[in-house]
Amino acid sequence: MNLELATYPVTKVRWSDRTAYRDGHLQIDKQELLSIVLDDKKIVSADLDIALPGEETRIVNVRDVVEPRIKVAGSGCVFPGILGPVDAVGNGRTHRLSGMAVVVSATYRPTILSGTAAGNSSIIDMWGPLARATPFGSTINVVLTIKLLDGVTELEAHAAIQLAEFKVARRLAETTRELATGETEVFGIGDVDPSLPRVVYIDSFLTNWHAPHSLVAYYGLPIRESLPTYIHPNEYLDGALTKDTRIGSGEYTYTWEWLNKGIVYRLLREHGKRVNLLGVILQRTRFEAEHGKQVTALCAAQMAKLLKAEGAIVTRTVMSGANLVDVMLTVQACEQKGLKTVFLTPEWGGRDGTEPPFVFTVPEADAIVSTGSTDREYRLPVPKKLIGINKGELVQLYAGDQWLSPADELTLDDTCLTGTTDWWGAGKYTRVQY
Amino acid sequence: MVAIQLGASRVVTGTKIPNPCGDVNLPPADDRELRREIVKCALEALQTNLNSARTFIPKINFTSG
Repeated sequence: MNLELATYPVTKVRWSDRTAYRDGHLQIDKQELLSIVLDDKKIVSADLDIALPGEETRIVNVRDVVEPRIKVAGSGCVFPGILGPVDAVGNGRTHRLSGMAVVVSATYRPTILSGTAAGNSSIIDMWGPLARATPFGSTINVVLTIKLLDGVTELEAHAAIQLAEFKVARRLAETTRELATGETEVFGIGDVDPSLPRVVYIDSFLTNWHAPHSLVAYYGLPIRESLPTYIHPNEYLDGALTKDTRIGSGEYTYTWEWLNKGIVYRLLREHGKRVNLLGVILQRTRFEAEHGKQVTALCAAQMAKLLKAEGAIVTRTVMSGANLVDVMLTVQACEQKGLKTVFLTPEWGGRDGTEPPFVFTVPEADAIVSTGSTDREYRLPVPKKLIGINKGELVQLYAGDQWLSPADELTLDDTCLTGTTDWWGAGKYTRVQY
Repeated sequence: MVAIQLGASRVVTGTKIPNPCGDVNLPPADDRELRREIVKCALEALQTNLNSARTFIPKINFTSG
């Protein structure tokens, strides 16, 4: 199964009376896009803005970010199970618009007012220290601002935000459908030199059993308490993995990142050169009792061993201590089965880097790649323009938190800022070992 | 596991993260009995002399998940 991914770079975006792409210039018919969004009666108002890198613009109430992609040949569609039927993806040809992103800024009246099941949001600055720390400070951002109907349930809110965002992204990518040009790259994990080291990627991620959406969905199905699943890495590239779009906090993941997962691209590109990539093991983590943690760790390691893997790369999501235990036990179980295992992860460490990086470790986790600390603070200067909010309104990043005035200077950490936590090794930090 | 790594000397195994000293899935009387066992185990732990950290396991049926 091979997937041809064609890239159409976007260097300029402007409003126009028709939606079209040509030589890096994307024209957008604003009214056309807004009418697509407002088709959903759960959305009472919608607006579109363009935010350019370097502009002193702050985007607030950010719930998700997505890259425009469309499938032009092969089975299924981009975002199967959400924008179309459940049909296997990862084959044929997919087009992407690079250098740009669709950001969704959404507000609704929440019914869950506290705890990890409550919705949250984050902030993007297009200039200053934050723009340098997030991938979304250097993309041309088409920002969709929506307000939902009072009385929507939390799950309806997620579905409405996601559908609006994905439909806008699909319409933009649609402009490249007839184009045969574009820089193309073919991805696959076909037969290669058998002497290359056999490697699996164990993609561990936290999901909630108690929330309206579990945080991560596969073909649109939220993954709750379940055991490891074996998938093809190409499936990421076509959007088989998506997220709860009520959860916009920087500690979590964004659809853009699932589509552009650093570790997956790197492994696919090294397949047949330095490694023999056997596939991906999706592993849901954060079991409530030690028993569940042990079973999932054993199961993931067993699956890797059955695939005759010699090495494994493990990542995680969300700064949860309970979740970290499951992941560390997985590293341990893999090592005990003879797999050379690398754990790639951000760490804590406190504001000044003197606190412990992990709350739980195992002696077998002896090869860890750090993608930075999530505890550092950013001082965000006063913006000239605000998107996603009316003048004078306040924002609340986490349910129950203090309300902030986004027009002012702010001091916030990674968890409050879109895309600054680097879960999968595609971030912008440089690491220094002391 | 986490408690031992953080340096606690006497650790009593609980049931689940959201309800370590009980089980919301049990009827009230059984839950009360389970909680009593965990507290009894903790009291025994406090009366035990130790040379190094130890985990005490109460005599209960552990729920999974």
